[in-house]
Amino acid sequence: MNHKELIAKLAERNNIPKPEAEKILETTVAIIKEQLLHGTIIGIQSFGNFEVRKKEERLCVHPATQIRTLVPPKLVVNFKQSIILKEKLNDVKL
Amino acid sequence: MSKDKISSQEMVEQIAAKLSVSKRVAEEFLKSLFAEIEETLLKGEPVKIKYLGTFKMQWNEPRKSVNVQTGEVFTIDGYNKVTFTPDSELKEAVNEPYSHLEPVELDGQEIPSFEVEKPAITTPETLRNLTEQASEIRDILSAINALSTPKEEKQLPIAETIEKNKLDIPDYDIILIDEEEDDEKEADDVLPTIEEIDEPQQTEIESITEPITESVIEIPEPADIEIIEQSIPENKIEHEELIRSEELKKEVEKEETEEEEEILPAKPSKKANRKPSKAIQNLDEDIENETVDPFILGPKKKRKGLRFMISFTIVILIIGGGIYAAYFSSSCIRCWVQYDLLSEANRQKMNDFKGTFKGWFSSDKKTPEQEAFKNDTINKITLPDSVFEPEQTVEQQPSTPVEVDSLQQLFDSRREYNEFLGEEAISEGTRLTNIAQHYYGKKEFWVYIYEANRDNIVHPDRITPGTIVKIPKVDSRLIDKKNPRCLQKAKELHDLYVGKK
Repeated sequence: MNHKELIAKLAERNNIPKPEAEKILETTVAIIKEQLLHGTIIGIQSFGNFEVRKKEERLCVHPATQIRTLVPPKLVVNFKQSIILKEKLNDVKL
Repeated sequence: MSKDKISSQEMVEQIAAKLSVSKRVAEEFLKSLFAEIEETLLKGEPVKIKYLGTFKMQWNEPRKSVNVQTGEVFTIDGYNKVTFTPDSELKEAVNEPYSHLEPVELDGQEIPSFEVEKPAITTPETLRNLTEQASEIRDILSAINALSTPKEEKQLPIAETIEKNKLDIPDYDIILIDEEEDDEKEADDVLPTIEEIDEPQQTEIESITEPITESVIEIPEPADIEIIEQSIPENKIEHEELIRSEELKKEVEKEETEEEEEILPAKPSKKANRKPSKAIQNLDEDIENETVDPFILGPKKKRKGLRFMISFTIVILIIGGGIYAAYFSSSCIRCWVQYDLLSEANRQKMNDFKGTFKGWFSSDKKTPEQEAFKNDTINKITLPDSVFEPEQTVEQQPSTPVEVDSLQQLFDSRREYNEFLGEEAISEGTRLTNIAQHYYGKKEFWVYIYEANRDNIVHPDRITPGTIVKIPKVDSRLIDKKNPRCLQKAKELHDLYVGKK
């Protein structure tokens, strides 16, 4: 499902026109981004947590050439599903 | 570091506040959003949200694991999980604080140093296992070993190199320098072996010290040197005696390290070094003095050789500078003219060089280029006015006579910054690279910002917070991030500015 389809679905669900649905969705995303940049964890009930984690710097060795490289630290967005969602997912496949 | 956490309730409040809609609408929307995502995921489809990322369901295969406490093997069942891949824009935005960092390739030199350090750490560990008394004795014994074993190693190369001297007398001056290096290398090589030897020999030094003296005496030598070599074993034995007394140990150690660094032909001086320790032992110095006399010439030769080498390199460098100037002045004559700061005299000199040496080395093209780098220091001496000389040489470096095109001219011409895109105040943690990334789209081009702000910035790595940096408008051809030559040029400038004080 891509962005457009999602907006269409959301508009249908909430009985609002598509442009408005798009506007609200964009604001939501903007807020999530802003909070992540602050380093805040965003918890969505029964869905999961968004979090920024720091990956520490590390040494890696190229297996073929034996060149050692120092990989700098970086910040990445991490998503962890909630237990509720996990159980739902398991039910589906079983 | 505890992180703040906001719940979906707070999210709702924020959305409501931003869009000035009722909380109920916002809440319903948010719920429906994630419910929709969830439903789609449960159908097995991925969900893509612009500027945020993609949610996907992933099947984790069952795998075997072992209970750590009981050693029991059990299987972890396969399960589904939701993965989230952030949009590249979000990813970059989040990683902003570290965006200026890049992977660094470590040079191979560090690897051996780690390997050498290891045995040094292991030896004390073995000692720790022993009882106190034994460890004390072993400490002393190992110290003696450490002093006596390098001797064995060192004497041999000395004897060999002396033989070499005998054979190659005509080339004496040049060989001396080669041998210096050899000798030093050998001394370095000895270090790890000492440590290897230390461990097994801790208990039985007596048996080892004897063979050492023997091995020194047995070395085959030309007749002239025999006298000295015989005196060396004597010294050796003295040393062994010396070592027994702990007080003198350090003194000897010092001497030995001096000897290590002392270059081979300085052998007489080495003997002189030993004299004080000898005096302590009250041994006769007569033989010593006799052996020293024929070798007094040694240091002189060494000095002579050094002087020869220095003058030789200076001559080479001057020649190189001349050729370099001649070589590039034809292609970059315009640049030369633009550098008004170059004094009249300098140019005159350069032209002189050009005239004299052009013919000699016209075929030899690479060497002058390489030597031009070394030449910087010489230029400072010979051309006292050439403050701008080193900078210029580096800037001209990439220009090959074949491709002197418009871009090259652009690189070589003096950049002037009159128009500015804006200003940026430096705060704690801001870097020129970040600013360059923002304005020019590539962090490598920070050098141009630096060039435009040289009055304010002492060193690009140490900008005082609060400084206001002007962002110059740079010729778009110069900061073409797709052109490898622009990047190359920026890299060179980077090396130039970061390398200098």
